[in-house]
Amino acid sequence: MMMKTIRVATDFSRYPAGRFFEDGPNSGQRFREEYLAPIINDEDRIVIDFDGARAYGSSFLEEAFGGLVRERRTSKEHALRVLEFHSSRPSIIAEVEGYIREAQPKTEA
Amino acid sequence: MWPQFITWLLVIAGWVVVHFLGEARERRKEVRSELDEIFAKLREIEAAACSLHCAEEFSGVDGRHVLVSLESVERRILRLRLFDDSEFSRPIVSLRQAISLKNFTTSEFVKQDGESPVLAEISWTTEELIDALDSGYRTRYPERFPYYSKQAFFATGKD
Repeated sequence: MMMKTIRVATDFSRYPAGRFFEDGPNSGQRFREEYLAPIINDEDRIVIDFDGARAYGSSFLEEAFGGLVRERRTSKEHALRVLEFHSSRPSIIAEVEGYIREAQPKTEA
Repeated sequence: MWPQFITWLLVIAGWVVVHFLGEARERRKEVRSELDEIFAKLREIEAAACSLHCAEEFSGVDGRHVLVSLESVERRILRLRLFDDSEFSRPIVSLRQAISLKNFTTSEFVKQDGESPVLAEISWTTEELIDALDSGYRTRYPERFPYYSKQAFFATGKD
């Protein structure tokens, strides 16, 4: 089984913030496009460890994880099957899983 | 011989019960005190979040301060080991979303006024969280005899 672990604090940033690229270097869009999207359809399991990073904003979490489905990087079912979340704060896991479940893929123009 | 043994057994048993109930009472007072501090902190977070959304421009530093404060409150709630995760996760998520899902980035920030639904949502979700915590406390420490419920004596939450 192919598995990868992404520790947000050490692999990405201790202070993830912002939604889009223009909001700063540690945005949810950057995390999604550079860390999640390239591997989401290739790995059997991806563990996301949220501990160590501070001040997760909902806009960052929604863009990073809800955006995976909304921007059609993967399907909702595949994301929920492959992604595994670790956090000492259960509310972060609940929030992220909610974004994936509620995301609707954008209709193609 | 037997009457003496029974007497001593009653004395020891009585001491154990009084000691146990005394410890439970102290725990209840500590929990109440900690909750009151948490409520005060949540009010500060509410005020800071509203100020942030009403500022002329978005401040990432202020935004981070508000979210770190909310994190700190969440950890204090977890350390109480009084509530099941499901009891307060949803209100915590709602408050964090009210503060930081919309109008919380440089690209989308617009100065809010007093009638803003963003501010209303922050106030409402703060009240919701406080109410959930207070309700959980009163479930475990009811105001009528026996004043303690089974949940008050057994730790909940994750280790």
